[in-house]
Amino acid sequence: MRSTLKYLTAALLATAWSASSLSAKTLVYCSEGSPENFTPAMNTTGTSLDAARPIYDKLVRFVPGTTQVEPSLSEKTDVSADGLTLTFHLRKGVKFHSGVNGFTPTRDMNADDVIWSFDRQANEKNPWHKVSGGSFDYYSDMSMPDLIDSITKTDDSTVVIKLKQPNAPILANLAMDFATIHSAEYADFLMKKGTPEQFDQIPVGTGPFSFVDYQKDAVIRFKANPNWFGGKPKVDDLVYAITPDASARYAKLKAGECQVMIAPNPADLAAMAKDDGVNLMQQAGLNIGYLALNAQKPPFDKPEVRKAIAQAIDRGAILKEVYQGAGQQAKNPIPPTMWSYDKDAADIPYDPAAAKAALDKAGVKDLQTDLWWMPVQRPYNPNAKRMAEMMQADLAKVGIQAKLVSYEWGEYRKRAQAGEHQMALLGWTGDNGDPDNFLAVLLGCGKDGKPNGQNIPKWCDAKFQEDVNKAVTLTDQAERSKLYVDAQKIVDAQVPWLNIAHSTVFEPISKKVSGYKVSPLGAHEFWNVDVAE
Amino acid sequence: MSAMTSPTTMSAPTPLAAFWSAFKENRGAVIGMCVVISIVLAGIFAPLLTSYDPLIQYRDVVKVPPIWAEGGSWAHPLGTDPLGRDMWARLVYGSRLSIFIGAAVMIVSTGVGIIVGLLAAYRGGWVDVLTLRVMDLIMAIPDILLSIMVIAVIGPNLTNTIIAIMVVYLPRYVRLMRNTALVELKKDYVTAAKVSGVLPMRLMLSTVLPNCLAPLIVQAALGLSDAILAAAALGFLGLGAQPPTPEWGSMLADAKDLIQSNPWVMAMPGLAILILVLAINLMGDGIRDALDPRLRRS
Amino acid sequence: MLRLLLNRIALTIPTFVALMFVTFVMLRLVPGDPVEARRGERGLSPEMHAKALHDLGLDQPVSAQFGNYVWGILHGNFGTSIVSKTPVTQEFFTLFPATVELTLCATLFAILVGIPAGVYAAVRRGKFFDQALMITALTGYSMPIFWWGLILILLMSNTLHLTPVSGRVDLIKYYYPQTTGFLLIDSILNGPKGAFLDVVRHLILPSIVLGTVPLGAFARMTRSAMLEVLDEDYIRTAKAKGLSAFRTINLHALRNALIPVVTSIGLQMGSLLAGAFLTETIFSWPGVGHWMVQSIGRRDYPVLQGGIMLVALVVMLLNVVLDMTSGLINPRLRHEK
Repeated sequence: MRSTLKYLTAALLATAWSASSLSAKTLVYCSEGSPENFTPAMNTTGTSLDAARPIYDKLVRFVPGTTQVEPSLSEKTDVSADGLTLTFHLRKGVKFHSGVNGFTPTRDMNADDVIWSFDRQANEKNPWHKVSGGSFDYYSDMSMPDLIDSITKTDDSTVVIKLKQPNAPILANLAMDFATIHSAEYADFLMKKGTPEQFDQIPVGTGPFSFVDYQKDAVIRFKANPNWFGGKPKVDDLVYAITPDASARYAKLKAGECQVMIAPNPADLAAMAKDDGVNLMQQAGLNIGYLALNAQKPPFDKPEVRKAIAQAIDRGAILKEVYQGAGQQAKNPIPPTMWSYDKDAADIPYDPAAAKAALDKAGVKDLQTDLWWMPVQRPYNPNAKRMAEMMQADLAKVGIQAKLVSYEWGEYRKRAQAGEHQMALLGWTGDNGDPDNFLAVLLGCGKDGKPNGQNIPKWCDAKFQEDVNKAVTLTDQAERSKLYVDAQKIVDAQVPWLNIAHSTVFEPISKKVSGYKVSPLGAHEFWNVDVAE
Repeated sequence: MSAMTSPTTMSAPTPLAAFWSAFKENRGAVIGMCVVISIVLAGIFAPLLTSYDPLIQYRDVVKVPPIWAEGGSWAHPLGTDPLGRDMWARLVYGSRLSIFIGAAVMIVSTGVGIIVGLLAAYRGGWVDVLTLRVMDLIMAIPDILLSIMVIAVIGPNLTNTIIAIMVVYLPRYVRLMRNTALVELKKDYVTAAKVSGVLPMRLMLSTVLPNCLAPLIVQAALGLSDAILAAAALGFLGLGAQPPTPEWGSMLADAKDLIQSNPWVMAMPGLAILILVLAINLMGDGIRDALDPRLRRS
Repeated sequence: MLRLLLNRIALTIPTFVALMFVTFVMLRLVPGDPVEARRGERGLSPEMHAKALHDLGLDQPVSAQFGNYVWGILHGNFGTSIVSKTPVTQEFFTLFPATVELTLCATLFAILVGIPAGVYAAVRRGKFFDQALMITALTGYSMPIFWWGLILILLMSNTLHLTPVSGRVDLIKYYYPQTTGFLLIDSILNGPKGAFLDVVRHLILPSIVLGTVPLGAFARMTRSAMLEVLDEDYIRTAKAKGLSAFRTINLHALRNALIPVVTSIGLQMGSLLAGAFLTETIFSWPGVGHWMVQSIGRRDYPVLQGGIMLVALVVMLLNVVLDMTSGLINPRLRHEK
């Protein structure tokens, strides 16, 4: 009986879909994989976050294509002079999607929804905290438990967040996907129905598109939300065609089966640039790929040895053969599109002779070491294996024998964080566009003088730490910038890691598509996108 | 069919000579054998066949196409890979690995198969039941999945590839050995030997085993190609020999992203695998027909 | 007959239980865990890690976990995916039709091409055509299918644009409810015009790739079975009686030659399923193979465990059925032990 009903609804949906698609504009996005679920706060992968994004809004959002923050569900945000109190004035008359999973909202979005959305993540006693075995990774990654003192409502359209200490990046954090606003009413509705787990499978939000249907490993369908506060999106139907293989995605784009695709094969970029039907969009990615040199393992404890290794590796060749030109050689640990980037820093040139001389001088002979490469493709490193093979050959030229090592991805990172490696490839993609999200996270050390978990080079420097710690509490960007430039200079002199490259994010789209912006944060957004017939 | 031109000597031909005279009748098998021998020789004498080191990267000549394609050059007759390593050198040195893996799997599984199979056949009872159940268990899991799981537990490298493939293919040898031995054990000469007090160990090894050899050799010959294919598949999934080792399967996997832009980098190693496996199978067919025409239908 | 059937099924039970134990233990021995695996470069503190493991019930002793697992299976519960939080059986049965459809089409392709090729080669024994066919069959039999798949994609899809590169149907043009999960059937039942053909188009390449190895095997087997039958007395009698060559082959020889071939089609099913794992990975085919290979990287224990058990169950049942049917076709086998 239940299954018949399911098919009946599916059939109804299908007719609704095909009836509308006769005259409707459809945008198809070739995505990489199936989402884990549709609750952004429980996910960390770009694939899952992208899948949920069309459905929801946040209090504030990133301007498409940038890392600037603009108002969204919160029309106006006041920050108190001491930086400890944030007051959000909510937009009035915002409607949740109606008709998804049999749910019809009876009221507009209000302060209760905001509080509910954060309480589910923060409060272990919240009955919804455990639903779907939830772990709210980003909430703790962004140190929200340490930052937020309280979230309260003054009235239905005003929410006040009190902080424990001033924190410059907090608004940018709230523009991230984990800070999505859910419907508390939908939650109650499902709880009464006895199917709470559907909350994370059949999503209801206020966003530009509402959820229609999802078939694992095949497709996700959305339709435009005519009541969206920003006006109805320009396309009527939005489809994510799940296509794990990059070559297959390109073939579909060429055949007109999708109009936007993620993550092209670097080797195919040249062909795409020449393709008449394809507009190859690009944007400097907010990322860094690096080779960490474990400062706690001799001889890498000596800055001159680390510098010699940096000189020995031909990054020009790596950029050409691994990134296929889709990246720029890095000289600082933060990407050049980020404010406070140290433009005047001098890069370390490729100079094997100097490297060899420096190694001799430091008394390093017949060095046998390991070189770790991660087993997966990452935005900042399209092919770690190929890169490692090239580095191995370069190091051999200066008399260093590097053994290539790899582990399963989770295991790899765990061991690297534990500092088991001597040299390890890794990288980082920024979350919120703030330099703190790179410098403090990736090279920071705790109060005890021990490196943080994410500090893969296991390198600590007192002056660097002082700069970074101070900068995060200030609100004036110019002042912060000065401190971060200073911190970068320390890193450049000490070479805890070899800056390899900032990859460029390429996104081929059909020439028929207009209004699409490549996000430096790796997000894919479609509310302002149009397709020509 | 042409009549067998058997030598008209008085004494019966030795088994080996009989085998050879039957084997050489099969043209395909002889060609297959020649190809296999040349590949083995190429592997052994790799340094004589190429002046390039398979690991040296010539960064200024990356992704050179093979000689017959536009832009090819005699400096690198089969082209170079994305790191500028000579494709011919990598293929030639890589043949060592493929053949080594195949042979190692074949020898070890045959050895273990003989011991376990004979034991099960001779002891019978719970030993036999247990052996059969364990083999059923292994065969119930799709083979590629099982080898992936084994590798996931013991870690990816060359030795472990051999172990993983061996585990997967063991049941074939064990069951074959057990079944043939059971048939042999029922025969009169075994009963006679038993009655005359031959020790069990000797009975199995010197009486039963030689009579079971024919199907076992056929299985080993065909198992060789299966093992090479399986090793390549694991290499393709990134679970075989680790970089920068020139293993054919992993070479193919590494060039997968070049399928559109530089397809030959991907095509070459696969072609090498196909040629080697085909040659071994041709030879295996010949061996099977020569040893025991009754096994033809497999 | 019924007793034999029950006997066969009873024999698979200990194997099934042992398999349950072995997969469970093996998966726990694999380094890494699902919590670490999903965290990318971020990592997490030991406290958070412990909490996450606790939430998943992975901090209990392995014996207790195994107990829970067996208890679940006895109640038909194969666990819940750690990644998607949906029941393993539900995911399995959504994806399994895709695998079955692919496997059946590949088998069909192998039979429809392989058997006639084998018959024809046997009839023209020793001629050039026979030799050419048999070399082709052996090449197919020796094919590394992961390479073959890529080469075919390169030729057929990327160069000639004849077939689509991945997926089961063009989801944009053809959106219709999937009642059975078998798109060939669904497209006829509910699909708009052209949907069926589109499904077929998508099936062509993966079926060829997956069917190549069995195709080689069937052609070779049919040929040798035919040769044997053609030599037998009753065929000679038939020929002597003046039956046309065509009728002889069709009516008498083929029917007898097919018995061993049919049995071996069944034997090929297991290895076809294994081949489906690679084929699905290459063609992004949303089936169980693709699903399980992905789950290894994610350390999604319940999916791997449940998936292996369910696949093994299907293979074992298939074998029982085959044993029984070959007994029906060939009564001699029934009495042999």
